[in-house]
Amino acid sequence: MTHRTDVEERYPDALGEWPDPDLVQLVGDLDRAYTGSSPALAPQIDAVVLRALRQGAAARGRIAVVRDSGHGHARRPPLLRASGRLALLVLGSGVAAAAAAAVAAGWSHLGRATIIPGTGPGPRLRSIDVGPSPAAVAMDTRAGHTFVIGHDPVGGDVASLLDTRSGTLLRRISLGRRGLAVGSSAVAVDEHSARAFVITPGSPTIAVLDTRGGALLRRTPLPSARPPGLTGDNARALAVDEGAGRVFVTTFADDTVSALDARSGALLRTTWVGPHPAAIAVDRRARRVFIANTGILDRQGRYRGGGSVSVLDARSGMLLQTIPIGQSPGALAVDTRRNRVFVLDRAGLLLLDARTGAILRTVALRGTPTTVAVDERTGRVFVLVGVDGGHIAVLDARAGAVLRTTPVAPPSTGVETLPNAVAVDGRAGRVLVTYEQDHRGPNGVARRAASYGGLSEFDARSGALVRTVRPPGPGLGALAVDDRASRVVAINVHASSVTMIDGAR
Amino acid sequence: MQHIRAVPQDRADTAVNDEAALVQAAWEDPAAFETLYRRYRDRVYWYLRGRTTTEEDAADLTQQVFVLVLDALPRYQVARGSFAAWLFRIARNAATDAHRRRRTTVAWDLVPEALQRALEDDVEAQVLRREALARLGALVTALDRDKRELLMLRFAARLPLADIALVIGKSEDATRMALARTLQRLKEQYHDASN
Repeated sequence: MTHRTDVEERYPDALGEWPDPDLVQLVGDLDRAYTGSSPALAPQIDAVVLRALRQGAAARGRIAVVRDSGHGHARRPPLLRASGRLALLVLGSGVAAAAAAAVAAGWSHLGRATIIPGTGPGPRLRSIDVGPSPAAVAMDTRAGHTFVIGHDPVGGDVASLLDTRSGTLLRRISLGRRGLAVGSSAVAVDEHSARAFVITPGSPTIAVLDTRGGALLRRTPLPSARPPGLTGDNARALAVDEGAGRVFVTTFADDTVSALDARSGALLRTTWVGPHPAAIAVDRRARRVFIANTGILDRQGRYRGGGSVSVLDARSGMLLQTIPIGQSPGALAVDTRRNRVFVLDRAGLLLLDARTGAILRTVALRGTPTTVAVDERTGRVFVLVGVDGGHIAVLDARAGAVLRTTPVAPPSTGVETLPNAVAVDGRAGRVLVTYEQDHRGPNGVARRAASYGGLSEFDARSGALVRTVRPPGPGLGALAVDDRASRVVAINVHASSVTMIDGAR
Repeated sequence: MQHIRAVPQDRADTAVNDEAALVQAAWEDPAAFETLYRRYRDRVYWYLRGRTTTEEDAADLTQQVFVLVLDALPRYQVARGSFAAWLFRIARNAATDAHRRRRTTVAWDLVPEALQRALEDDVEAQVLRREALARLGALVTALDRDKRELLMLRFAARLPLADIALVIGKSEDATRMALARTLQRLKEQYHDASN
């Protein structure tokens, strides 16, 4: 009676000292009925969870671009601790600079958002709940509204609409999709048409919201070859060209960029670009769109070539040029005044001529560059250097010369700083950087419980550190700036609320 | 009344320490979480399969549970119970939330895949066993929700009594008593139905 023995071995707490044979029979049958072999869908479950794990491992660098572009993972911070959100904010002159912030954000289940207002001399903090897992943020400064996008596999993806001035939560808009998905969250705002365009992980559609009331106006399906849901990661990054009335969306897995009408949200055209387009920026003056194509990565995330920058015509969506970039580009920004494109790859920063596509200069940076922003007023480029860095490099936008390198937070023994996102507050003449910090143990391993972070303000011309604000909690992630209201919204990692901090001036 | 024995304490302690170490390691190296994931994937799936109507729903919910666990991992405290109890508390809440949102009737039938497995070489014996399991399925379905939950946690999730008690928020003694009564009643009904 082998089975009887097995049952008794397995369920000593359900059978007596001298088990009743009928009870053994029952328990054995319950065991058979309930204990199946590996589920038929195990490969699908594995694919998603293990991929999430791998991305979590990569995101431990706390840099979405590091993960997305396959930049080297020089160290491995704790599991999913930052979920890799980064903001790439290109804030132009002549336009309400801080307004529309296209914030590319990585997979997140850990964040919260923070609003940082700028009235009064000292920092003032306020916390507002925005629901679980906020991952991306953008503002409509005309409407005075902020959108925070959260990916919640159980409750469904949600856009939280905040009043930027008061910091109150006005409305939560269900974006519908439930279930686990691995991929990116991103949101970009077109103030001219009062529309917000939202990517949520795994969704094959772009959600179009009214920025004034938050109404969900439509969902535009992207022509993705990948099914929604389990496979995830359809769309990756967004950028708006208000002048051309276009929204551009990269589809990482399909190597395409789609152009949408900014008012109606209708899909106008889809263009094949290079392998794995991960980041996007618009040259409003030249009406060109620049796309960083990560290139081909193997299963270990090693770069196998094919990195490039694609140039599209913003009106027609036509591919104009492909510029090979040697080391897996992952982030970029444009200076329309000086006709410069700044591209980050594994080696550092590349300076391109926006008109011809010629690579003018390659700038090596100490550590792994993760994100870049430009202040066209001051002609400065700001590069966050994460892994082995923890600093911000300030460069001259015309020549690409490194002017200054400043730690993102005051240095402290045994503490490692990892900058997350950067934004320019043009009106205040400040550059804002969010970061996280870890105490390092004697063996160099991060001690998870000790992590914290904050926001540092730098002078936009000199790059000098002006002040650091440390709200409660383990650190800040993606951010957006409203320089009219002197407000900053940042993702606050590992939580689900919003904090308001008095501003930058 | 059945006399119920506890799981040997030394084995339970070893498992708890082992898993606490894995959780700790997972904070620093995600590969360590893969060990935990592989250890519990099937158990979570079969538990959720009993609380959902389709395989796809169970698979989807299984993924969600592990993502939620990844998210919450830093909040796991060894002192408050085993990793398994913590994990299945999350799974139970996720299943309850999913059920509440969908507002559909969730069948608590026995797992169809298991019912369809060939259990004996003899075809006639297979048929008889399947019929018996189908009867058992009907009896389990007729139980009230709390009793079914107990059976799911014990036989699908394979949790020891102490962990089940943590998951359902009752004392270990009360859990032991409830399981014994449920099994006793089920045994009588099963025996009667078989005869």
